Amino acid sequence: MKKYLVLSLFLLSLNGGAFAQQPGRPPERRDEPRNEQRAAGDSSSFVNRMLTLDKNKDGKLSKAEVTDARLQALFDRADADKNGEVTKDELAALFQKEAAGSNPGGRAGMPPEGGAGGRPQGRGPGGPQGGPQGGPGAGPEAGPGNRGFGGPPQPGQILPPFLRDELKLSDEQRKQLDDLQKQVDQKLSEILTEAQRRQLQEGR
Amino acid sequence: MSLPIHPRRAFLQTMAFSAAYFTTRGLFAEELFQTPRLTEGPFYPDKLPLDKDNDLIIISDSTTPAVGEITHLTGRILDAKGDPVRDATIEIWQCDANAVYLHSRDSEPKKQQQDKHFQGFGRFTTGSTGEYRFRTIKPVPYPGRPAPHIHVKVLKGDRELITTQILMRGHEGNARDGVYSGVRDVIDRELILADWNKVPESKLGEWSASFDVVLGRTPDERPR
Repeated sequence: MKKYLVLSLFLLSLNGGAFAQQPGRPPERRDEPRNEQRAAGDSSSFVNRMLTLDKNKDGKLSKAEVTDARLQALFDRADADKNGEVTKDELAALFQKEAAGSNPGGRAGMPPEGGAGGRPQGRGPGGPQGGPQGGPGAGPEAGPGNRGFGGPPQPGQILPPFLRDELKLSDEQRKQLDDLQKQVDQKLSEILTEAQRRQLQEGR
Repeated sequence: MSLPIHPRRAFLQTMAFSAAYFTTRGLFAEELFQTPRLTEGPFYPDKLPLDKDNDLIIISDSTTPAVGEITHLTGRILDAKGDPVRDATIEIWQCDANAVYLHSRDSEPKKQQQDKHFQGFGRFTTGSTGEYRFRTIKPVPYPGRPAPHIHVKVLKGDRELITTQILMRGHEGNARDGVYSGVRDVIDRELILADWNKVPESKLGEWSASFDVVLGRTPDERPR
């Protein structure tokens, strides 16, 4: 009997150990190259990265939590209702506004200039081995250009998924919107030449 | 009966491990965002100037200053935890007010255009505070690069730690700039921008700009 007790204790503690270890598993980001993740550039990775600053884990950022002076301007832009706190929604909204390639005050959705290089930035040694810079029509120093950006809105898209969610569209509305999108896509492809269509696809 | 002891010890060890892990995780959370690397571009000087000091406005004993709006560029070199990095060498280079780089491939064809009084390149080695300081000109756009920028390279000894660029926050050219646009991450974009502020009561219309360089946890150590 005593033996059983000991055994079950043993098992229990093993179990407890396993549970205790669960949250201790290394987070994925530890093994993944960080820049790789950044290149993905979707809204949730942006929000999550910002929320690493959320010290009290209340799911939003306060001004006091954003101690890095370099991020103050970003914080102020994100704080749409100017209450000194930035929520996940506000972060996501900021991402939607800015990830399309515009900077504050810039034009949203403007296709970028530069060559067709498309070498990802911000990773690898930015050394002189980069090879020829720029592309056709660009000056010698023009950086590797990119066609389009990772994040929405895509050109020709009526309502990006984010806004659909934001507006809490009903299923019926979604369906209608999908139909409208189909019509727009069709009309758009009638207007554009084959080459332009391809270019637009690359931009998406 | 040594059996019960072992599981208990194992359990405690597990607990200890978890606790240590959470602490470490807290440290990760407090890390500063790393300054993004940007392309070095084609015009790191092919022949460094004789005067490589941190005043790019005056070359050696010249009495003629460079053309352009004087900018006091300051900042710190920090590691990922925010600690200052001492004995780090920061180099900057940029085109002169007439958009000519200190590189023969750029300056040869633009001899007439070049401002011979601009040093074009400067170097500074940090002390224990990790701070650096340069006197240079407010950057101007360059053909193909609508975003005015200052190139930056940080080294420790002869190991390169990072190569990047400082762009001007709010400049209208940024949105059209290939390098800026190439940075897709909204946060990373923020980390390559600096504010250019008027120096109060400066009769010369000087500017100040501050830019901290945050190195990665495992800096890319590439021999030159």
